[in-house]
Amino acid sequence: MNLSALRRRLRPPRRLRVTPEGKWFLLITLGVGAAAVNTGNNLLYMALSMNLSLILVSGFLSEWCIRRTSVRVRHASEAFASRESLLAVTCFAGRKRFPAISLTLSLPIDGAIRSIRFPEIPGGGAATRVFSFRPARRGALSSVSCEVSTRFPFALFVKSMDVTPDASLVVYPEPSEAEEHAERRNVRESAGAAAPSGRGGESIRGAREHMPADPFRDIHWKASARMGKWMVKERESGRAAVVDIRLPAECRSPDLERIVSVACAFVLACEKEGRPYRIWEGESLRIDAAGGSLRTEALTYLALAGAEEPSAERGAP
Amino acid sequence: MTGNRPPPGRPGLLWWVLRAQWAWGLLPLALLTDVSRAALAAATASFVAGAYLDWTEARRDHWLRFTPPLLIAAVAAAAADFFRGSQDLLYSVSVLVLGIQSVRFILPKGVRDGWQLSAISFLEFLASAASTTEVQFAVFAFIYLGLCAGAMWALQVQGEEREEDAAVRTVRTGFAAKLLLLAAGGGLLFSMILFIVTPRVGIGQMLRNLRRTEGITGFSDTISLREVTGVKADRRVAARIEFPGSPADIPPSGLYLRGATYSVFDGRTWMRPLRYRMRLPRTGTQYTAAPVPGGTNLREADVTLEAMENPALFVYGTVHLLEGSLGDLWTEGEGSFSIAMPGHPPLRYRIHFSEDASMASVPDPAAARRYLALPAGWDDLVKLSARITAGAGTDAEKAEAALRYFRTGFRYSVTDSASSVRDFLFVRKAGYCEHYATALALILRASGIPSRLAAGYLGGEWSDVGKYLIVRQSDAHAWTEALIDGKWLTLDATPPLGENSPFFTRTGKPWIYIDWARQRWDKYIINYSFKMQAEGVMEGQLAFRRTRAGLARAFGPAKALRRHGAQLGAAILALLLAAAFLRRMIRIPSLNRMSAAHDGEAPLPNDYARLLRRLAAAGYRRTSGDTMEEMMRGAMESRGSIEADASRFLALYHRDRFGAFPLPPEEFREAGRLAARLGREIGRRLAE
Repeated sequence: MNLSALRRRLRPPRRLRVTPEGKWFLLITLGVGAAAVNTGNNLLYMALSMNLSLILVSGFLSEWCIRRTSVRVRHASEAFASRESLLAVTCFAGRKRFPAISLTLSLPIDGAIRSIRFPEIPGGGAATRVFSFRPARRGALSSVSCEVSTRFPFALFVKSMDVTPDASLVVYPEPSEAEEHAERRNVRESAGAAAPSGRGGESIRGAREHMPADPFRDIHWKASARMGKWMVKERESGRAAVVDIRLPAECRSPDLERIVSVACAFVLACEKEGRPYRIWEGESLRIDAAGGSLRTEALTYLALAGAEEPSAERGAP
Repeated sequence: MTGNRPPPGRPGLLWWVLRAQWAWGLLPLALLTDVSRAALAAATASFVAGAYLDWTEARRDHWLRFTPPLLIAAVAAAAADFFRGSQDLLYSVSVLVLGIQSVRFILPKGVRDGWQLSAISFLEFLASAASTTEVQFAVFAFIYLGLCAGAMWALQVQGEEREEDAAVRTVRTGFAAKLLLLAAGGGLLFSMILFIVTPRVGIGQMLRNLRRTEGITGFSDTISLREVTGVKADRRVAARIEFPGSPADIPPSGLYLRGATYSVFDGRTWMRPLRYRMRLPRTGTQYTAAPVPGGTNLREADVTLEAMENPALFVYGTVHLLEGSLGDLWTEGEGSFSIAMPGHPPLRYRIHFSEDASMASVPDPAAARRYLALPAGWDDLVKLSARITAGAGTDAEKAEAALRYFRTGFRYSVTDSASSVRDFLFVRKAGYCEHYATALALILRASGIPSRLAAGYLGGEWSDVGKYLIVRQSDAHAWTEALIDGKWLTLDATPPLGENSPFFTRTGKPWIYIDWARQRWDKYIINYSFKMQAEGVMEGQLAFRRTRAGLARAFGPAKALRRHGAQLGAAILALLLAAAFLRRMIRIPSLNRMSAAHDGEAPLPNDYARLLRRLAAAGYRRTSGDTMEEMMRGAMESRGSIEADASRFLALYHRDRFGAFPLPPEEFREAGRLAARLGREIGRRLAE
């Protein structure tokens, strides 16, 4: 166990910071205590006890509010490096009968701390906030540490704790703009001949899990009922020639980022047009989307191409 | 969370609680203290005005320029109160605080102003605590605890709204009420524990107790013939007395509670010889008044005196030991005691006394001369005394003869009483206790028996509820004490009237309970002391030892107890583990919060839910999976008149339910209004 892990383990489970109002409250309490000790007046001792009891009540209520709170972070839209995308943060109240009130989630994103507020989450329920962010690099991020804090109930203290959210975030590579333009031209030129697909298609090609940015009209009700979660329809119009996308076998080449970016643009274009495609790594076939859409798999493969393992340093959103 | 919003356009519970906390400090100040009524009235009026202006959200930022002159006026009012009014620093400071509060009430209020007003309210609460000992303060304190919790919560919510720059905040009334009750109840419990365990130390280094004494009068250093009977019309309680060593069910009787003795009489007034005062030797909180001879069976009495404007301590019989935090105690050597201050707040002390007077010290010759002195020119009294005591050999026989003399021909009267002792003895022969006591003392003196007048209380009302004696002002009494055969004896010539006394006071059961609450308040709150804490610890230790001994008896010797204890502990541990395992097993499904059932979805607000029900009732729900939008579009197709409202509503609805951020309050209110209007329209069509 290294030093930082040891320090993390020895860290108290809750951190407490006194707010400016709390400092005044403590000062007044101290003054009442001094007056009580000086005069021996038992009613001043009672006032002192009341103030101290409010501090205790504040501690208990804030603990009830924050205890067992969990967080889930997921994409609300596909995230591409250097592009605006949406992130959905869902906070779950830890207690069934007691709501989580005035929670603030501090999430390190893009090298800065994003504060997300949850005014009230019903007991046993959850609340989701969606916000935009611009990831710097492609890659996977398996764990993000964030801080949940609350000023509830009396704003005298800010009680906080660290939470490791349930998050499996993959940032796709930045699509090469040059290739996108070229593909757009191709699409325009081949309009009518190609097989436009995606949401505008006529026949349903498959279903995938619903994302917050998807319109409700695309919900596949039967699939949703079967799967027990929201599913949306994927459509296509017809079949076209298979496009092969080839990556170098040695995935550590200095041009890898540019190649992956171009490949990403190709994949997106193919998905948009409904063209079948395959991704090769050297001579190995990695993704075969000739039989249907494998958009997520293809983009995820490209996001992780060249990575030994997912790490926080690489492609942090 | 849109689902938990209060109804739009109406202040929530916390709004009211915050204002109640601001105003609550005024109530104990008004009811329990003598703070300027004008200042209190001004503060109350500005509170009402300010609350109304806050309610109507009136813009009054331009009023801020009036703040400095108003504050100067408040300072001037406080100064006037100090120099011309109450002349009491605490009350004048209270006037200043009330002035600042009045100004703050009517001005616009941000979160910071809210905190300041709450702090001012707390200062008023402290001023009340420093000025009163009334039991009603307990009720104020408990309610104030809950209000403080609510006010701080309201300010926390407001602060959050300000930081978010959006006035969307959600505190449901039912939840707020429950949480405030919980906070008040928990706070009360913690307060009681902290109050009990906080060590009582009074160092008195910076300020003395600010409480002003305004208590019972009477029993001063001089009394005239009207002094004692004059206070008998007052029904207030003067003292509550417990007898710890006595059987609880047998009320004590015939006990004279002595407050002061008077040995110098000038013909109209009795006086105390103050130049003979001496300080009682003291060890910690114990004062030794007289040595305890061996074999003497002492009784104990815990006396709780109400606030008084005289320094007298009231005692029974011959006092040997006094216990209490009373500062320096003084005595004239005549069986009466006084504290160093001219008046006092409620006091509690314990006396160890013997009922008989055999241990009284014999006065020195100078003092003896004082006890025999008669006013000049009272030869007729000497002759009367000689006539009364003729034939009596000993002092005891003389005293008996004198007492017998008052049993015939004299009558107790308050309305037709004699104007002087001489009038009482020779002309009218009607009077009250001071007449009887003075006349007897003078007759005894004339016959050569040292005697003095004692003033205090006789008897009282026994409380069956609390097992203590309630002594009222109406029990005030004067009697004679005479030195006979080296003993100070109590002689009472006043005929015992009992329930026929015009001052006889007895209360009903409810008042006995109320008085019991007051007695408990005085004993355990007002007079709670370090000594009581120490006694509590010792009693706790004794209880622990008793419990351990009882367990040892139940389970056998210590070795067996340890063995049984280990078995018992193991069994309890196993049970706890099993319970924890079962609980975990039962809770596993409910802990699966990642299920889709509540996946970030807030409960549906009432307006939306009502509209959905109306749409379903009108037949626009074709399948169970139909959404609000689908049903509403169906309604729009069949009823074109609702199209504009429905389109606007759907736009707001989608943003509210599925948008990244909650709707601003005005748009949420608009969505609610539209939902209600659409619901009414659809319902009306359905009825048609």
